[in-house]
Amino acid sequence: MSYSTKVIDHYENPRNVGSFEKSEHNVGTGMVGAPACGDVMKLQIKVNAAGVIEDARFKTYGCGSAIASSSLLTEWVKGKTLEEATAIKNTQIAEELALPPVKIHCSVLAEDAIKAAIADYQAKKTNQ
Amino acid sequence: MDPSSVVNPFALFGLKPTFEIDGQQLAETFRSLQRVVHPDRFANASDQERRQSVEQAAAVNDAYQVLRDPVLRGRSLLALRGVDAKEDAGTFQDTAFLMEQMELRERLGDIRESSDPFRLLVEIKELLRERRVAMINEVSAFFRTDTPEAWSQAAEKIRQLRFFDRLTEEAITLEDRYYCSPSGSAD
Repeated sequence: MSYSTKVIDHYENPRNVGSFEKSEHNVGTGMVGAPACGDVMKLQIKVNAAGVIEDARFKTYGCGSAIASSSLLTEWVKGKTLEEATAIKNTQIAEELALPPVKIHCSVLAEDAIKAAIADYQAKKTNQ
Repeated sequence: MDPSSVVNPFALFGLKPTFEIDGQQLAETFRSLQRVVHPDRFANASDQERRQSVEQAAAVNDAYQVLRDPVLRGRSLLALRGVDAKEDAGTFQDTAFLMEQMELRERLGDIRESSDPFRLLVEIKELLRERRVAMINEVSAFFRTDTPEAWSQAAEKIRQLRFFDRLTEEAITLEDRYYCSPSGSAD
C-alpha cells in the first residue's frame, strides 16, 4: 500500500504537534484509541471566550494515516467555532488525504478525538 | 487467509473451548496435525484430495495462530459464545487507560535520547511483560466465571491487551534497531 503525497507531507512535517496544559480552563482534551491496531491519539483545543478554537495540538502514536488525519484536523479546526468543528466528518478527512479503505478507521479516530476534546471542554465549562 | 476466519479452532485441535491452554501440548498437537494433513503425503492422490489437504493444512495453521495468541484466542472464544468482539468498530475512550498508554509510548520514545538505552529497554520490557501477564490472568478469570457480564468484561480487557501487544511490538522493534546497528545508535 502506498501513501498519498498529502499523507506523506503531514507525516514528514506534522503540524501542531505537542500538548497544552490539560488542567487549563480553556483547554479541551480528547484521548482516543483504536483497539484494532493499538493506535493512540491525543487532540487538544484552546478555546477563546467567543467559543472559537484559537489553537490546537495533537500527539499521535500510530501509522502514517493516523498521524496525517490528526495533523490535518488540527489545521482545520483552528478559527472554527465549536459547532463548526463538531460538524467535521471523517469522510472529509479521508477524502482530503485520499485514504484507502483499510485506513478509513484512522480518520474515524480523528473525528472521535475532536468530538471528545469538545465534549471535555464543554464539561469543564459547565462545571465552572 | 485471515486466521480469525477459522470457525472453531478449538474443535479442530480437539480442545475444549477454554481460555487456559497448555502451550506445550498445543504445539505438539499442531505438529501431529501438520503431519496428518501435509500436502506431501497426498502427492499421488487425486486432485480433489490434494486440494483438500492444502485447505486443511491452511486451516490447521490458521487455528494454531489463533490458539497460541491470547488476544485472538479470547476473541475466538467470545465469538463462539455469540459475543461480537469486533475490534474495528468503535473507538476506545477510557481516558485513564489511554493516558498510561501515552506515557508508556513517551517512555519508549525517550529511550532514543538516553545514555543508557539498554537498561531502559530492559526495564520497560519487564514492565510490559508483567502487565501483560496480569491482564491475561484477568481475562482467564472472566472466562472461568463465564457469564454474559464476564464476557463483556473479557472483551474490554482483550481490547486493552491489544494496546499492550502493540507497545511490546514497538519495544522489540526499537531493541532490534539497537542490536543490529554497529554504532549502537537507533538512527
